[in-house]
Amino acid sequence: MDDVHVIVTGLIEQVTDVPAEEITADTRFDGLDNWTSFAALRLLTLVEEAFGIGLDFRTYFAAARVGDLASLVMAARVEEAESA
Amino acid sequence: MPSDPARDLLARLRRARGQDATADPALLDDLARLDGSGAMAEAGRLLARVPLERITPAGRRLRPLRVAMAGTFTADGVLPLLRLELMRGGVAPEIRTFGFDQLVPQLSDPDSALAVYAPDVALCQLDAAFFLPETWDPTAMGELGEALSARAALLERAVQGFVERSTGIVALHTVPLPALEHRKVVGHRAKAQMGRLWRELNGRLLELPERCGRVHTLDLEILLTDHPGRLRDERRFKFAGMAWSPAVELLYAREAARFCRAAAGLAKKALVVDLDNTLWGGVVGDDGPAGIQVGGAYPGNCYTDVQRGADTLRRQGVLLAICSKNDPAVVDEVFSRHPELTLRADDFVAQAVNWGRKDHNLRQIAESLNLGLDSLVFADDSAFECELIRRELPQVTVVHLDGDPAGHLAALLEDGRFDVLATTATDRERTAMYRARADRRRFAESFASAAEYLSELDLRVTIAPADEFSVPRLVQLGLRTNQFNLAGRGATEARTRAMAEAPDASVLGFEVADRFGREGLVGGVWISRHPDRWVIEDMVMSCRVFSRGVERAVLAHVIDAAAAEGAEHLDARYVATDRNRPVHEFLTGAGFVRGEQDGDGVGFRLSLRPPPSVLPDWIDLETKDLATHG
Repeated sequence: MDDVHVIVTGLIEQVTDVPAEEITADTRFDGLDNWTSFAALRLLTLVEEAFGIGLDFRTYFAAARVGDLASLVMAARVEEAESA
Repeated sequence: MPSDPARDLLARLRRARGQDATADPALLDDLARLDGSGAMAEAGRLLARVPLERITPAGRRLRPLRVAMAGTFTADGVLPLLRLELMRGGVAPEIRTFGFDQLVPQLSDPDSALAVYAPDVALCQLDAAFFLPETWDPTAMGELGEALSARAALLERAVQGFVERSTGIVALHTVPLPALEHRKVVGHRAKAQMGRLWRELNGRLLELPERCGRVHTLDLEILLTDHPGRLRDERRFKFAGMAWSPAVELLYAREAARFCRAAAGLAKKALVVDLDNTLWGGVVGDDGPAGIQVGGAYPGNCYTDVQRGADTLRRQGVLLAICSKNDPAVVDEVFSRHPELTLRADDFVAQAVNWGRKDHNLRQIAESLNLGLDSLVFADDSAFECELIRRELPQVTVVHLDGDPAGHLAALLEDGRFDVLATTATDRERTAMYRARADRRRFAESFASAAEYLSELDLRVTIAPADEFSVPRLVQLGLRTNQFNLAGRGATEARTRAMAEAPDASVLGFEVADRFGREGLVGGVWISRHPDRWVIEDMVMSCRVFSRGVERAVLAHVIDAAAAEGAEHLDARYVATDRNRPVHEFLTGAGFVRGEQDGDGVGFRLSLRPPPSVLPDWIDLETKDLATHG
């Protein structure tokens, strides 16, 4: 859990230039600086590359907070591991 | 954590954006460590607001270029990747994008924003959906052919009109057919028809450069053949109209950057190659001209491929040169007599075959050809030499040919370093022109080592008396080593064992390690100990570790041991062969004085009163006590 959170906030920093230390599980994406739908797509690319997963766009864009995304990542990892 | 190096690099880029940021001149080159299109795209985004002189080494000049991007789909993802690749390739770009999906109007309207911008290079991104109707009837392939043809004609007219009104060049590309479209067709006969119609469309795009001088067509379809990812991510396509997956955006950005580099005149002009384990397998000085691997079956055929590839470059105007630590006479023999070589001596415009420093040799090659160092590509199998050149001559492009030789040709050709917009008749004659001009000078050898570089290598030499494990390997080394071989032929196993066990003789083996790894046992010394003098009966060393001062470190150890036991002289008996000149250079360089001819050999003597100091200060010497054995 902690690992996923650390990696995800690091990736959000890459996309938005907001320092990872300032991002918590409760941080809302639409409250981040430089947050656009294009930034959301770029973050998706980074997340999928970093974790080797594929996400459903419907649930990805429904994730309002950073913690929601971390949960999606963990669920997808379990799914990948089971299907592998 | 996978994202850490990327985070650090991006943090450095953010710092470099600041008003009063300090210079970080290695940053642009360090960005080569980024992998994954996602992190690269973020770097490209940040690069838009970083002053280039702050993140490049002093003195590096980037070539300015005005680039336009216009597409038939949303290619936003390409822009930052293109910026990154252009900057890394030596271009300082001004890039503008023109309303995606607006390609044809932008090209056609004489007053469009694109026309007003007047780019040096206009890159056009095309998607299958531009050519393919939304619905089409797989039972009426004739209609599909006509539809494709009509769209191609529309694009051609727009491109031709734009080129006639502007001074820049235009790059189109072949358009891969998404496999999903092909799968909609169930009849194999119809699938084949569709494949043919699609290839005819790409054929038209590829033919356009022949009719229209300033139009070029990049071949994306061929680039995809050794690309592992999907062409399209249907989620991104449906959600945002992005027709390419992030990996294909990167693939295109790289090819487009190579094209822009060619347009900016940044193509490399000369390929400088090492010989042993680069142009052929094995070490010719040790294995002999008949013992090298080239031609025939694996791995010789890999080296033949390298030679053919280099020859193909040469026919298109790339100059070839040699930079090799070898005996020139042996190399001449290989080039004039070996039946399997593709390249011959006449194919090279310069040959620096000597024992000198490769950075000095490369400088001389560049001067003799009147080329800048930034026009050279240097290929070598040795991590040592590659690091040396990267450090001493950062302008030179270095290709380290390590690993399976089957990958060597691909490594030479990757990145399109030699790409130009078009070759000319002059290019085909270039080797002959340079050879006619060349003054055939011998490259001056400098044996002095790059001390500063060597001191950072953490060179460690370990010397130990031969034991039952090392004797067979020392004997084998003696037989295999032709270049650094004092007595001309190795000592037999019986003699080596006898000397190793005798109370008045020693056999020492030595190993070398540096920060690239361990070379293992690389040489030995055979010594007879008399009360007043020690005699080096034989000394051999693998040429893998030449020019690093290893032999001097070993000598320093022998001098210390001999002096400690009260010897006044150190003698060596040198038997000249047609290969072992390096030993002669070593003896005279270390202060030995040549004495009398003695049968087939010559005596050399070094006075130990006082014992000379020959240990290079960049080598850590570790020894096992001589007196503890035999």
